[in-house]
Amino acid sequence: MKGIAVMEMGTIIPIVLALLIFFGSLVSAMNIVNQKNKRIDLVFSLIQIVDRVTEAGVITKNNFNEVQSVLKQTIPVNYYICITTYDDDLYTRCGNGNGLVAAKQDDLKYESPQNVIKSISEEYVSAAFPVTYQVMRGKVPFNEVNRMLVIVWQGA
Amino acid sequence: MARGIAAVVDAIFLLLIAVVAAGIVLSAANHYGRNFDVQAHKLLINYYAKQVVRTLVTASVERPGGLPDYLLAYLKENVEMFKELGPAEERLKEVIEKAMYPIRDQYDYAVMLDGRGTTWNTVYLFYKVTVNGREENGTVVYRRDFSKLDDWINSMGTVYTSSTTIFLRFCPANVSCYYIPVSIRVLVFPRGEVGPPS
Repeated sequence: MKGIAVMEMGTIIPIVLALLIFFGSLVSAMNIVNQKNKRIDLVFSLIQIVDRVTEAGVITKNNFNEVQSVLKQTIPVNYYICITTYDDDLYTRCGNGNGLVAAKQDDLKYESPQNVIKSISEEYVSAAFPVTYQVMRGKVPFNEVNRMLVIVWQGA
Repeated sequence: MARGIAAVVDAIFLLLIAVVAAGIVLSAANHYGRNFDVQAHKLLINYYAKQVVRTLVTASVERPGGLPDYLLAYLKENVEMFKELGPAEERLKEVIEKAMYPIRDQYDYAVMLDGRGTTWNTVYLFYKVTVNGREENGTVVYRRDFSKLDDWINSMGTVYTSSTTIFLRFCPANVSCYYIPVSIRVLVFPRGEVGPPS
């Protein structure tokens, strides 16, 4: 009788283990795929943001302010944008009153990109692109080559 | 008893099959994830190249004397006057270097002003390559024979590219001026992948 019970246990344990391992791997694989899908959504959102901001060719202070309100309505993810002339150390010197800054959450507008990244608890995507930003030199417009840093992340 | 042992063996086989199947599923998911990261990165670098073209087309430069003008207007004027970039070459280089700054640590690049097949039949190639950890910048001008340029481009394994066409005014002697199509092409490739063009 005892031998039969041991046999049954010996049958049940591997079957239960097999089921746990198989379904566990399925769940884990689904998580990986979902995570990557979210990441590609972020990349597309980032490109969409850069496209919107630069679609006029040259960025001016006025059209940047206009685009900001459109972005808030159309971009579903959180974003932080900084346009600045700084070549080096973009992440520490952007923001903090330097350059043009836009963010979905208004309170992030006054932060540096470093602080924004610190405050993000989930996956984010960031990239810097060259853009032309129009300044006035006397009465003549001049399109400077600037940097545009964009950080996007999921969240409400 | 024998039937019991058979059942246990069957269960262990089932466990083995489950372990192998789980391994395959996880490995496929990881592979998909890695591919995805590579594709996402490619997408961003390709978009970067496109953005560089946009920047080159819209940037301003200072003419000698400090007067601002559009880079393209200045280029067009120089080609029309000198049949070469002339003083605009330095300005174009400056704009290219600024536009490429964010990725210059990870990537090498080249920007071509390609007038092949036109009356001008000239290609200007501005490049930055990394040889043994050292960066080399330069400009090569190709006229009529473009085989070395093609060989250099073909030697790149991975290359992200974007281009647009502009029209330059061309004024040959004793003939009225006309416009020729010239393409601005941006090539971005992994650092150290190719040596300097010849």
